[in-house]
Amino acid sequence: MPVAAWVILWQLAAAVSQAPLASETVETPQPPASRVAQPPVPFDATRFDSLTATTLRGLFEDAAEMGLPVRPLVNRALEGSARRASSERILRVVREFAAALYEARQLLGPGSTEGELDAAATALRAGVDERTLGAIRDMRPAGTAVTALVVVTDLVQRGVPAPQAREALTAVGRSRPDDVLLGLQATVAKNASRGPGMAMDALQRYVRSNGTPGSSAGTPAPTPATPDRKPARPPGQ
Amino acid sequence: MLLGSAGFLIPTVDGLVAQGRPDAPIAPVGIIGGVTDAATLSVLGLAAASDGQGAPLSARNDLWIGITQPVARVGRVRLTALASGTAGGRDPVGRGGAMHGLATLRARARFGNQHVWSAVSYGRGSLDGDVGTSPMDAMGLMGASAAIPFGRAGADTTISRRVDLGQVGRAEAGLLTTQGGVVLAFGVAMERATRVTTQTLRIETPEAGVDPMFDGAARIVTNRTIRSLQRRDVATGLASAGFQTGATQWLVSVTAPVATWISSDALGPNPRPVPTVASVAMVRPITGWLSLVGAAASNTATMDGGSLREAVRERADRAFSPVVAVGLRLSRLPWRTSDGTPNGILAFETRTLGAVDAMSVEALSTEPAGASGSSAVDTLRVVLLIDAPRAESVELMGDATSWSVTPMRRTTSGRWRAELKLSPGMHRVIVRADGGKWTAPPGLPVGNDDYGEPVGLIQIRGRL
Repeated sequence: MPVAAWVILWQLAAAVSQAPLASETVETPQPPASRVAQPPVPFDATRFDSLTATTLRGLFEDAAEMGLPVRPLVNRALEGSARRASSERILRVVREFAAALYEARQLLGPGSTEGELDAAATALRAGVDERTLGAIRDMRPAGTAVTALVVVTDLVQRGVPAPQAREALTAVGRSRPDDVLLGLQATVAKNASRGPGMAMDALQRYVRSNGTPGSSAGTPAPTPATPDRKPARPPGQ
Repeated sequence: MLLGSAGFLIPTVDGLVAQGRPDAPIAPVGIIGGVTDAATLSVLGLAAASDGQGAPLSARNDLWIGITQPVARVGRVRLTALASGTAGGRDPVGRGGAMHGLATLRARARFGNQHVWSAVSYGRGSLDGDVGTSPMDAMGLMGASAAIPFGRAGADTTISRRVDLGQVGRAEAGLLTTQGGVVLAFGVAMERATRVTTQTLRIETPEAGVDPMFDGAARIVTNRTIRSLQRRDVATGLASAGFQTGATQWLVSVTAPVATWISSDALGPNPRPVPTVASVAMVRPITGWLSLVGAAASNTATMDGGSLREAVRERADRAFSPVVAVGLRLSRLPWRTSDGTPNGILAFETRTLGAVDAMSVEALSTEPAGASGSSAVDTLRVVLLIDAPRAESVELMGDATSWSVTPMRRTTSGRWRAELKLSPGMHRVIVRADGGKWTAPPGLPVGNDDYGEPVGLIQIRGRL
């Protein structure tokens, strides 16, 4: 067999192997001014009806052209399928999360990583305000803000108002390792289940004990801010 | 896990139910009596429609109360105490009621994906058969000893009251396994039931020299009490299959007596062997079932050494009569409110949810991503450990599993383990125990998932 025939067969085989089957990959062109890595993201189109799958693919391609990470969007779509959400709701969630990713990139800057944008968009969707994201970016350089974003999302989810969460984060997290932030999250989470107001109480105690740099040499609080007891009732009540 | 389709056999706690009471069990196997290792309190109302032929088997309206309470765990074996009681309004014997109670100690063990169970039960039951004045009813219940001849010079006899006190002891064992998402259960039970029947006869004898046809006012009335002991031994087999279609859970079950031995006497001249019951039940979201009750296996029954083939032949026309019933069960767990178990379950769930008590994340090592095609990002082998000691299965799904349900593996220490490869960044994960509600793993930061449910957030810090 001549060499040209081998080349043609090789090209045919390559074309067939790259043809989209049930499980496709969304081609995501590299954004010119973004550090976000855009490898092909697996997208199992068989979990959706054809119309929804086509619409989702269009959304993913649009997001990729805008330099937004596609993987978080694919995950939201797959999650909606796993939760048996309607096609309309899945598309709405993906669109809204894409908008949140865009807003997060505007707030955190173009140098943000995919993980940061995902976490920031999740925080925005949870009720964290723009000012808080800006404060986190000031506190953590690009690529290192995921933990802070996750912590602030958790605090807001547990009933801590966004301004107080921001103040606590900046008080205990500036120039301190992420473990301090995780200690704050764990303390608030532990106390939040004990009743209304306990999350804020724990937050304030933790900030008081860890708020000044050097007070604990950058290590998490050795003991919970609120030990296994109820807060002392003020005199006269 | 769909539902524990084994556990109790049909709770025929009323002793020698088959002889005097044609109240064939109408509920599917496993519906009544929970296979659960959690503490539950259930109240169940049973109301069955008539079969249209006036057959008394469907003439029952019962209130059922059941309690389960885990008592101990020895290695793999979990011991659970179960108690149930039934109060019936109308009974075929008469206008009186019926009450039954059953206490069970059950042992369950798990070997991989296989579950075995064994249980011993003891129960007591009573029928308060206030027969009333219907002479036909009374005659239907009379035995030879009560059949005092009628006649102008003889006596007129009716049964004024009948009380049955019975007790039952049962031992059962079975296997429960899951194949392709279908929960299959097989079991056998050996049961001995005894019943003491006390009949009070009202015997009216005409006064000497007075013709009762013309002077009914002058009679001598006597009461006579007859007691009789009856016994029934029955070996029963059960098979059931539970599966799920969409959000609906189904249970198909068959309970059939393998062999029945009846020791009867004159007070129970028309024995009714335990019937075969085939049922199709929709367990959730709305509970209802269709049972076919018949006497297919009755030919194996014997009474006093003789076959009951002829005795049951006359009932062949009513074999496999359909019984449709709709039930409602409310389970409350007032003493366990913080473990994720629902406080109220409006369904015939025979299992309650296990609890995910805590979750921890352990990083094992980093390795190149390789398959992901991104050489700039490392992946981290992460082990998720969940404390759910009461759960029998734990599953997770999330970003790392492309939101596909992934079962976790039970370790020798009793924790549940799954190993994932995660890249630096944020990853969302949710878990569930025993097929219950998906929830954010305790101990992890919580985020909103845009679909109205919380998710756990795992952050992986890696080099950039």
